[in-house]
Amino acid sequence: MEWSLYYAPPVAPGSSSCLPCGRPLGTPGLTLCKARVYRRDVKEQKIPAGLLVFCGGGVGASLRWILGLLFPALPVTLVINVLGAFALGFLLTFLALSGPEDSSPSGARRRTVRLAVGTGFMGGFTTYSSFAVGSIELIQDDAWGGFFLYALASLCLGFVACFLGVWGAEKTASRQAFHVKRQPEKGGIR
Amino acid sequence: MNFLIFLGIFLGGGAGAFCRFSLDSLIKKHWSHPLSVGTLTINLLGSFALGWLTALTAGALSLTWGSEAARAASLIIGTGFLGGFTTFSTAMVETVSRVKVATSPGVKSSGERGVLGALFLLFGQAVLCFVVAGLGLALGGAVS
Repeated sequence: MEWSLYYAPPVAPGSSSCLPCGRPLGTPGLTLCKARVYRRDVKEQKIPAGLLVFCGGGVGASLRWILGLLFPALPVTLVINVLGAFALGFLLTFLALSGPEDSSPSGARRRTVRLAVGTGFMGGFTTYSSFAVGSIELIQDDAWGGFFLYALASLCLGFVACFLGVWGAEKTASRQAFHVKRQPEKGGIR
Repeated sequence: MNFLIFLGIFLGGGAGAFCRFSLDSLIKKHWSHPLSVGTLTINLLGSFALGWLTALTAGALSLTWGSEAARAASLIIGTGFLGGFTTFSTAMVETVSRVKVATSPGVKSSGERGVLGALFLLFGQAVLCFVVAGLGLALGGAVS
C-alpha cells in the first residue's frame, strides 16, 4: 500500500492535464494541494465497503444465533443489544479520535475496522426487529409487566451502555494522545 | 441440516447487513436530514417484515411447507437476513450522538430541549417499530 507524491511544475495556462501522469485534472483521486503537488491516491486498492459489511454482518448474525442456542432461557436479544450498543459506541468513537480515514495505511485500517466490525458485525449482531417482535409477543401473551420491563430495559440500558462506550473511548483515546501523530505517514518526493 | 441453517444465517446476515449499508448510504446521499432517517426506516421495514414472517411461518407456511422448512425459513430470513438488516446498536449511537450535539457548547439548539428531543426520538422509534411489528404479525397471521 503506497501512495506517491508527484511534484510538478505549475500547469501551463490552458493546459488541463497533470504533467507527470497525463491524467486530466479533475479526475477523482487527483488532488491539487497548495504547494502545487499532484497526489494520486491509490483508491483502487481499497477493499470494497460492501464486502467488509457483508462478512462482518454474517459473523454477527451467526454469533447471535449461536448465543440464542446456547442460552435458551436468557433474554439473549436484550443482552446482545446492550453489549452491542456499548461496543459500537466505543468502537466508532475510538476510531474517529484515532485519526482520519485517508489513504494512508492506518487510515485504511480504520476504514476496514469501521465497516467490517462496526457497520457489519455490530449491525448484524444487534437486532431491532427481534426486539420489536419480541416485545409485541409479550403483549400478545398479556404479559404487560414483562413488556414494559423488556422494552424499557432494552432502551435505557442500551442508551446508557452506548453512552458509556463513547465516554470510555474518549478517555482511552485521549490518554494515548493520538492527536499528536499528525504528520503524514509515508511519502516523500519521488 | 444444522450446518445448512448456519450457512443460511451467515449468508442471510451478511446480505441483510449489506442491504442496510446500501440503503442507508442511498438515503444519506439523497436526503440529508439532521434526524438520520436511514436507520429508522430500515428498522421499521425490518420490524414489519419480521412480524409478518414470524406469523407466516407459524401459520400458513408451516401448513404448506411443513414445520421443518418453515422453521428453517424463519431462521434464515428472520434471524439471519432481518437480524442483519435491522440494527439496535446504530440506533443507540445515533441517539447518543444527538444528545452530545445538544449538550455541546456553542450549539444553537438549547441543551435540555435537544436532549429531550433525542430521548423522545429514542422511545418514538421503539413505539413505531412495535406498532409495525404488530401490524406485520396481524397481517401474516391473516394469510391462509
